[in-house]
Amino acid sequence: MNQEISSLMDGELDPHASDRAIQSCTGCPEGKQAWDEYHLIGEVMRDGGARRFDIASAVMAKLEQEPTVLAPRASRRFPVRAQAFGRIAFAAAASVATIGAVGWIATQGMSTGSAPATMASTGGVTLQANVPVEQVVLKADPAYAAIEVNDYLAAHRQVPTPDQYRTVAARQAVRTR
Amino acid sequence: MSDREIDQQLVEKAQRGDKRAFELLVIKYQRKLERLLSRVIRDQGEVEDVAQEAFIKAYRALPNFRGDSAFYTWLYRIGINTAKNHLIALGRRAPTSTEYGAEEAESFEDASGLRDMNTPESMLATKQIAQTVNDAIEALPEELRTAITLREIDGLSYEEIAQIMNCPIGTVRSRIFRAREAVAERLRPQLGTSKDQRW
Amino acid sequence: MRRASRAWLPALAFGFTAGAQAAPQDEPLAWLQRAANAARTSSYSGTFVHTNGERTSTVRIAHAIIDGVEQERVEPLEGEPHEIVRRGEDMICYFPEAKTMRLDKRVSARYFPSIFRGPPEALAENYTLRLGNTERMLGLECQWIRLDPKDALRFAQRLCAEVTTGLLLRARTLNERKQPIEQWTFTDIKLGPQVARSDVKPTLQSRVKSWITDSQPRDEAKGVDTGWAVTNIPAGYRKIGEVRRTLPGRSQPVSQIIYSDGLASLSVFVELAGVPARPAEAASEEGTTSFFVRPAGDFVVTVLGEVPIATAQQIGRSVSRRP
Repeated sequence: MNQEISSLMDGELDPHASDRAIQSCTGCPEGKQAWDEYHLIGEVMRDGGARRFDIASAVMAKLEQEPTVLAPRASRRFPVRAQAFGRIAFAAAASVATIGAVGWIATQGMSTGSAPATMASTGGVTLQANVPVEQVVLKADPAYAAIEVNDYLAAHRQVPTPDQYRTVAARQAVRTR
Repeated sequence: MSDREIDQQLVEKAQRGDKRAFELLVIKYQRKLERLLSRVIRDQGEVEDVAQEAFIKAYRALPNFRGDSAFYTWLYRIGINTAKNHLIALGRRAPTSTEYGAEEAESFEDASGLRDMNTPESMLATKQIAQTVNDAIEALPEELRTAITLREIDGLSYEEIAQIMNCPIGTVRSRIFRAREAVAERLRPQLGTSKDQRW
Repeated sequence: MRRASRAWLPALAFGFTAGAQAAPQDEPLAWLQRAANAARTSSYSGTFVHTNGERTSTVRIAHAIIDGVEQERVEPLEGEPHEIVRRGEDMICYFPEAKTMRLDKRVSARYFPSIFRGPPEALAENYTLRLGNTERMLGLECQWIRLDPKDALRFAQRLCAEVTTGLLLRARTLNERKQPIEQWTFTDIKLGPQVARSDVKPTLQSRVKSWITDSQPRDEAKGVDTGWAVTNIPAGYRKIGEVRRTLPGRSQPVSQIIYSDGLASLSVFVELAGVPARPAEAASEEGTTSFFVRPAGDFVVTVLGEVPIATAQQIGRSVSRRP
């Protein structure tokens, strides 16, 4: 596995193999460590010295709280599709994609740190009560304005099933102690 | 695939939501960025803060990165701007744009003589790492040492190295890998970090 | 008599017993029915990894029927700690950092391994169903079920069901080049009697002394007519829901119409266009998730779903005001 990483950083793999090698780097601590050490060795050999400076884990810990960025698919890889439409840049949190609305609402409640503001419901279903304070809008070319996709994803992930439509008038809101 | 193409591949993965691909870019460029920032900011702790901030800004701006310039050029520009803002916030003089512009970032790869304001401890650590790497390279069997030197110092491709060393490309691939592993093996206790501790 | 004797079984074993009654068959549809049934009625507890495109997240899930009520605990293992607990159709989210317990009666969601969006019988119309290999996975004997689409309007699916219960331990979606683009995989699993009652109980509840309860009544959404219609519905997709809902940051309600072919589903959203309005169609894909936006007069149509982009486009382009 580490030999693939070694070849990867020398640019000696075809795109498919380098894709696999990148996955070995990101997939396990040993791969990541090899990627780090091999680069360090090269730097020392070229520059005569390299300081130990390891901020990657600190940076990643901070990025943990960031919504995952998503940019338009590279047109190079999917030329046909990219030409068919304009491109959208959108930001989506991975957890929303997996578990959908409930978690997203909770996360939003957390990040705002404020009491939820109830929005008026006009007879339909009020999906979310709290308003995200910080919409993740990525500044980009105006033609490719970013879209806050989390709301859509969340709404989509809790597709009503037929049994969800039954009358619930008799139900009482559960109160905790 | 060139170095720039590998970076581009990592950027594209990160743009498609793979944060860990971005982490590889952080690991790859953190020391270079640190050296750049050390020229502008004297305090080592501040350098670390600014470097972290620069990477986070880069991550947020990633959707806008279109590959018009190399990733590291783009990253260094963000790093320099972050450092300037940091100094302005502290009321210190910020370097003018001509002093540390993008052009310098572009050519920074080969800049030397930058390690002039290190603390004694970090100087020592730097020296020790250099010593260990050099010793380990010296101790390598001839064919491994030649292979890794031609690659890292001379920047030759595997094909070129294969011609020089008169062996198949597969052998070059394996020699360079074995050389790196042998040096890394010596380096691990030096870095004071076993496999599990570091991540 | 059989029914009466069940009452003596521990409640947790109920699902396991029910699942085990159905002997493994050669009919793929029967396997799908067992899988759909097992996800809702059996007891299981484990951790699954979800990969869509290049995003990955890990979730711990426990599911059981206790005293006849479906109970479930879902805990995403990344980000701020929180957990979601189901009691029947009620879902409560515990969020210790914010000392908040959120009970939202309008929200009900299903997670892997409950992946079906309707009765599996409908799937046979849209997919060629076949049984694949058997494979040992997490120490359990499993049967692969292959669903290959009959047209380009949906993705191929590979489902892997545990033999004795029928529960899905793995699900994989492939693109038209047969490359996996989305995957759900259990990395550990306990089945039936191995599942403890405590596995489905909230765990974060005790970490905070006082909780702010944030509960809102669930409105009845039966028979909402959004005033919008899709005229060119892709073959095999049926409307499974139509609602009008309020999304954060929007003063006007958003209309949502949901379509599914039994497995894949997509949502059509129609709302008043923002300012400035998006001038042209745009699209994006991430793993199986397609996203298509089209301006329609003063409105904007957004289609989002686990379908090929062409399907999202076909639907998105045929949305119009109901006459």
